[in-house]
Amino acid sequence: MFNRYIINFVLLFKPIFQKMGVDAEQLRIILTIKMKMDDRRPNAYNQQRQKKDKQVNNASWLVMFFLGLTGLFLTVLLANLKQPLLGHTVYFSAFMVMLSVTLISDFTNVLIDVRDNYIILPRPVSDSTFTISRILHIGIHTAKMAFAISISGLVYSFIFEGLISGFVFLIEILIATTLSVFLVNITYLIVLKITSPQRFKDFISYFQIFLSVFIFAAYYTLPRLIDSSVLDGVDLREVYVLAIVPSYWLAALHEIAITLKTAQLSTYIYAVLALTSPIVSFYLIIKVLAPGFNQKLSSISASGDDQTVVPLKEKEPGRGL
Amino acid sequence: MENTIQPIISIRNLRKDYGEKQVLKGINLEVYPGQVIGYIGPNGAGKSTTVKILIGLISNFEGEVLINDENIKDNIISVKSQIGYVPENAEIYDVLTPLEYLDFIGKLYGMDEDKIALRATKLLTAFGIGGNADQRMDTFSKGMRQKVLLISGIIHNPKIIILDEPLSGLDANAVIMVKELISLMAKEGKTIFYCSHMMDVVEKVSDRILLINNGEIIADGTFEDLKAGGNQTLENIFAKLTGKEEGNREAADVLSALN
Repeated sequence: MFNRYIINFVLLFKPIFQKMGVDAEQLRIILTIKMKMDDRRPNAYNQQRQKKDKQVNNASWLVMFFLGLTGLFLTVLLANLKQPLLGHTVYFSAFMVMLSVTLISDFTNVLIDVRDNYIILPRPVSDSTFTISRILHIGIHTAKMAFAISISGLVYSFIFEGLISGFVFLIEILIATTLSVFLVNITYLIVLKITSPQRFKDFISYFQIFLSVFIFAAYYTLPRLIDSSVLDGVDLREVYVLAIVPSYWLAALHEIAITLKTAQLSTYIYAVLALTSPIVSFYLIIKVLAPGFNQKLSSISASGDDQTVVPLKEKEPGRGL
Repeated sequence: MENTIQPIISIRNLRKDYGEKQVLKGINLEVYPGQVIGYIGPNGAGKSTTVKILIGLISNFEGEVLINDENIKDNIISVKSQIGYVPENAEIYDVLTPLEYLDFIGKLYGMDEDKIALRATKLLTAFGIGGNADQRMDTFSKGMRQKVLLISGIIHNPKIIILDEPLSGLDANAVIMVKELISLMAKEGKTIFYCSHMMDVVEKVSDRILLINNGEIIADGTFEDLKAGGNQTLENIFAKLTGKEEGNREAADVLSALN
């Protein structure tokens, strides 16, 4: 039911899609079935249920529930830490790690799934409709996960830190999500560079095991961390390595929003980095990473097909997304 | 007869290469409504590439392909709506039920929901899996999935049906049923493009056989025409024309390697 609301929301932008040559009705049909399949796909969060041979109908909502719970722990941690700079650095580090590992472990199979080539592409569906449906599917999935992790933090920020802080928090979430997608893209390319296509699939399996352990560890560590007073004595400005950590840039952005005129010059520089990093990463994804990524994906596809499989680089732009 | 009827598939000087490898070397072909074409050839001969061009998966090729007088490059959506395709591998969204899957496919062809449900139920029953219509396909055997795949290829009642190894995984009764279905659909005027390695089936269902090797069609005719050279089975004709007559010797070599 919620999927339908999400799709209806997305289709509010129907005129824009239609201008791009998209068949809005087919877009609705494809997104509906893709989201239904997401809800039934086994993932790192419902493996126990799968082992018991129970069919899963709400997998993505289950993932959102667990991510939401983790987000709640992080929010409590954020509220308990007395330094906002430290709190936001820790919060958004955890946010980006959680989002990236979840995307890698649970969505890679969707990304490298070549069944669409044999199921959707032989039907009367235009390339634009197919490409936009894929982008939106990935976008909706990412947004759902990001929403689940951050909703409690966002509500906290708006209620307890004020309107400006809340809006800045929202911007931080958007930037952190973009950077996480960039991080995932980089991870894929690095793994594909050092391993074979078949090994890539193995890597994803290992990653799912890692995520299971990570989730287990997080649920033990986070509550203890909240009680700990160790972090309170840390002064991040003396930890110079944080200059290259995006979550620190995001925290700097928040710092400026709440301190404004009293902020240090370095904090302004980090805030500018936070604001420009999504633009730079978008540029890198589209101009540098995406073409190579599509070709690499085609090699994964070809590893399980006959020798005349269609190399994605020969298809219309965007099909390999 | 063929001169007065318009060909439904017309391929002119079709060429395709992957880098330096030329997969199709100028294929010319005209297929008429109601024909069952048996398209055979060894691995890597260019069968899959031809099929992928016909179903619109490959658009980057040289030459001209007309489907029902429409150029595939200019009217790909219209062309695709006239074709039903059954892929070689059981590529299916297996977390769905057959009814959900067929509903999805039917809607992509612009069919009405009620019409899809009615036709899907009838077809599933005819294929003997009506009782599994609401079960997820991840529990299905290969044969059951293949049946759903076959239904998804014909649910919109296309003029042209491209079958790539459609009998893979089917039980004997289903094989008989599909062979009969192919004949009946051809009688209704549908064109069947049948790719397979199963020579005995091709021999029986096709009224025209095309043999492709190294990207070129090296034989084109009825089974009777092809066996005029003295060969009694399509397997023999295939082996002779593709230069692989040493099948018996190769089998003996494999056996001797084990001893």
